[in-house]
Amino acid sequence: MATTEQLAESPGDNVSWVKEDWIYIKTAIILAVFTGIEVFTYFESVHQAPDWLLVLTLSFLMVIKFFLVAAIFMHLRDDNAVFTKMMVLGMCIAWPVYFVMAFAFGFLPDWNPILKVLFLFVPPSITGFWLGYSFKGGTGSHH
Amino acid sequence: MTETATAQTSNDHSEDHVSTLGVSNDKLGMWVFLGSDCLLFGGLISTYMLYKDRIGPDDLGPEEMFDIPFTSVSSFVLLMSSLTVVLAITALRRNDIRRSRIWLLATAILGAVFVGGQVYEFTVFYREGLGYTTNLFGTSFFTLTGFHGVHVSVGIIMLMSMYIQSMRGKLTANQEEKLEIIGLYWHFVDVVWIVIFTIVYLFPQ
Repeated sequence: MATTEQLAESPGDNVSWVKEDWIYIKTAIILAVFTGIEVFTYFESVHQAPDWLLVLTLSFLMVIKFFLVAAIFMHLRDDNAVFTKMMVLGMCIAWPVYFVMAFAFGFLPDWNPILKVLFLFVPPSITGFWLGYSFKGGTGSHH
Repeated sequence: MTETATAQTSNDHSEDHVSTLGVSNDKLGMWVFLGSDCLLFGGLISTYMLYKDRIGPDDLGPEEMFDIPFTSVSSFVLLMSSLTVVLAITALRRNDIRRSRIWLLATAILGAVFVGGQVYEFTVFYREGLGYTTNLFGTSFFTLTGFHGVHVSVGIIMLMSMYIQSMRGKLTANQEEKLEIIGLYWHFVDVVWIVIFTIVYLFPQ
């Protein structure tokens, strides 16, 4: 069986492809570990923790996994910035829409109204400002 | 001379795919489609959240129905298929057609295992008394997860078409973008399952 170095040194290849593959393998391992942690919360002893703590932990892991796949597997990290901006723009609009629903139907704690408004509009406003600021005229950047 | 002409045609062909944004039209089209699909899944997930408690007094609810260890294995299989598809793309990029083909087939098989698991899960639910029209929980659950299953099935068909193209020698390193676009679709299906698995199966009921 060929070692990593041998594969990299075979004719027509270069070292960088092994490095690239290794990045994807490492990402998959991280994703598998996170999934393991998520499943662990299902077990009785952990499942008795307060609901808000479970929801917060699971949401955090879900978001990390989402962004890892988008950034590394879907190449958003290295691809043209316009793809990232398109995705972020959609999320800016979706954020208040889905959280208004979540508050309205009681999926989230009944916070102070001012806190709710801040939670709904501050994150998408900051991101939207960055988006508006970063869009350039002309033909765009060629990657 | 012929080779030069072919290279020129190939170059012209790739120029056609570049939009004024400096990115490929095909790739941009896929991202726009994925964006719209995101909204669709967002709607279906929200509907499930609203209706998951709408069950009759004698009906089985999510807590009694879900088999988390089984679904965890399915999720893991789908997650690993994202790795195999990205390995197929990198193999094709360095013109390692044979390895790219192996990874493509592995991805399709992993996808088929996931869909098979879903069919099994649906059958078990049906036998236990949860049909599509039994209650609103059943309707919203089957619509959401079934719709995702259809996405995976379409992805398998696309991967197999790539595999056949590769067998016929029509998938080479300079057509890597074709596979990358299908890879984007496949990763999206994976990302959607990450959200569904957490919200539908793991969130406290």
